[in-house]
Amino acid sequence: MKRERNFLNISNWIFWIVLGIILFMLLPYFKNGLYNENEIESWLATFEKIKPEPKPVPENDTIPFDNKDTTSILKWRDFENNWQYIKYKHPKDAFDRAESNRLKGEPNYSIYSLMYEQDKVFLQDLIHQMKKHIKRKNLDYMDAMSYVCSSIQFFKYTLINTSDKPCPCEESFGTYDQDCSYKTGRGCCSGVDPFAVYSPFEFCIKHTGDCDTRSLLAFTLLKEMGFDVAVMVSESEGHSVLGVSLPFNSHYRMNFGTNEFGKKYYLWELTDEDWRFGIDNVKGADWKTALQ
Amino acid sequence: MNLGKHIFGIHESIFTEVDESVKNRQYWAYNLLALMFYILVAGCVISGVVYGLVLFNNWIIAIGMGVLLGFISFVLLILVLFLNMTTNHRDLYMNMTNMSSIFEPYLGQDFSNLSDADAVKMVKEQKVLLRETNHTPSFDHFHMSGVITSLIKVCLVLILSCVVANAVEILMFHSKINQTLHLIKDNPTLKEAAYNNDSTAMYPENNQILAKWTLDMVTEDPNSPFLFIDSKSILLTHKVLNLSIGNFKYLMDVLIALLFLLPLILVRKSKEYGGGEFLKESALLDISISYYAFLITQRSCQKIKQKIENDYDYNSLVKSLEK
Repeated sequence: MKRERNFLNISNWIFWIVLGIILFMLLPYFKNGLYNENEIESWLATFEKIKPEPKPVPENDTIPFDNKDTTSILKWRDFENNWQYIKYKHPKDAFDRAESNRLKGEPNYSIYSLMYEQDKVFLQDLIHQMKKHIKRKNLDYMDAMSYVCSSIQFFKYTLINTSDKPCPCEESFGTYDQDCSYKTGRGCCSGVDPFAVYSPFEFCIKHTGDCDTRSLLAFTLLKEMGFDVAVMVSESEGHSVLGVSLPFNSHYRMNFGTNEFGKKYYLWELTDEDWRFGIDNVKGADWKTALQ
Repeated sequence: MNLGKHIFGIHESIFTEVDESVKNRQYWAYNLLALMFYILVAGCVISGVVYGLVLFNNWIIAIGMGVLLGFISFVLLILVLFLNMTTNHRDLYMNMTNMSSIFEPYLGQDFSNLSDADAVKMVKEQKVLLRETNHTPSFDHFHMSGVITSLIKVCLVLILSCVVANAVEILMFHSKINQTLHLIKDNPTLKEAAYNNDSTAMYPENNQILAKWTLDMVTEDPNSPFLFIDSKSILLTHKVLNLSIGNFKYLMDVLIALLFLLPLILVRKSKEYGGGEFLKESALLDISISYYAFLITQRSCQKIKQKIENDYDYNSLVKSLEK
């Protein structure tokens, strides 16, 4: 009985001691040592990250940005069936440098990252003019992305092969002839080494490319504009699409992939003119970010 | 002061057959439990007021929120306590839940001549017998389903304790939190992040949205001046609190959780409650009332049956139907 009473007595004491500590702590003294504002300052310092990042200039690129000496034209019909026309400046030897940069790609190194880092510099004027158009037309977030992607989707699909895989060729998803242009939609380009992918700038000039070339160009243009996008790849599908992370609550019911931290990217198929964001036509459950 | 009277119904008439020292001990135990209960409910009321002030900057709404939270916690805590208040005297518990063993010897007996005084006498005898045969509490209520219900009860209490813990911590450090919120409001990095137009991004990035939201939350609305915490957001207040007090917050959370769990642990584990005289006498009272009601209803039933047999000729009714 004594032991039983002790349990109540001890619990009783614990209750009042804990209550006493809490009430004591409510007094406006003794708390300076417990409160530390340094963590708040560290948190506030994280906001510095949104300052504009300096544009990295690729190695050996000594041409200043405003010293362009040639122009190219990008002409396409957007999703509203309106013709768009952009004349943009770039270094005269940009195409050769984009090509040689692509050929430098080695296994175990992200070819996408290599090409993105260099070609985004060549495409600055194109990006700038697209931004001007978006601001002038006051396009919202999704319409602005559609405008940019329509400039890629307008050009029909072309299969891209390396040197060891000749054209024409037969694939599980179709038959492709020797015409390396976007005109037929059944074209095939061989000799695109080392990984059968054109660089973003090469696509802009040649207007031809398959899934990953298109995803990479869309990524390059949109990323530089500030959109949260990624190049998504699926090993099971052997395919690449554009990944779009939305800054608002999404009502889209469509397939998505994730990055290494589980961040969700909705998948946008860019290989056909008719496919818009929101159409759930991308198969596969192993979509991962290859570049973000 | 008999605090346990209004919560647990503890009163003198229950303890007529109990020693003075045991009675006093029981009063003390239940008054203590009631006091703990009132303190916890008061904590919930204060928490509601704190949250109300942060959210609405209005004393009337804040007090309303305090009363609401107090009421909810009152009901929840009383539910959790009462669900655990069962006597540990095995026979009493069994008889309370199923009284057929007490009624069985009397089935078929003639009660038609039983007077009220006789019934009371029989009940008293049965009560004394049960009291004498149930000296030592020995009943273990353990059952597998009890694990789940206990888990639910503990979760309910912990949710309540978390709500109160956060409010108490805000109350504890409110002046420091306000100083920090002013620092945040005047921070040039945050302002630059929120209103920086030189960004190459066409659309605000997540950080920019967060910076704008943070500044918006610490900016006072002239129509609704800050009363307690200089922020419109509980989330921002918690963020500041979490970052500033670090591990001390966990310590406070644990202490307040302990405060909320102690009455529950006491009711379950202390022999003063489950094995105490109050619950034993209450169980005996319940059994005697039911037993008395059984005897009286048996008597009435038998009287009515006799009256029907004497006053109504059912045989003639049956014959008339046959015709």
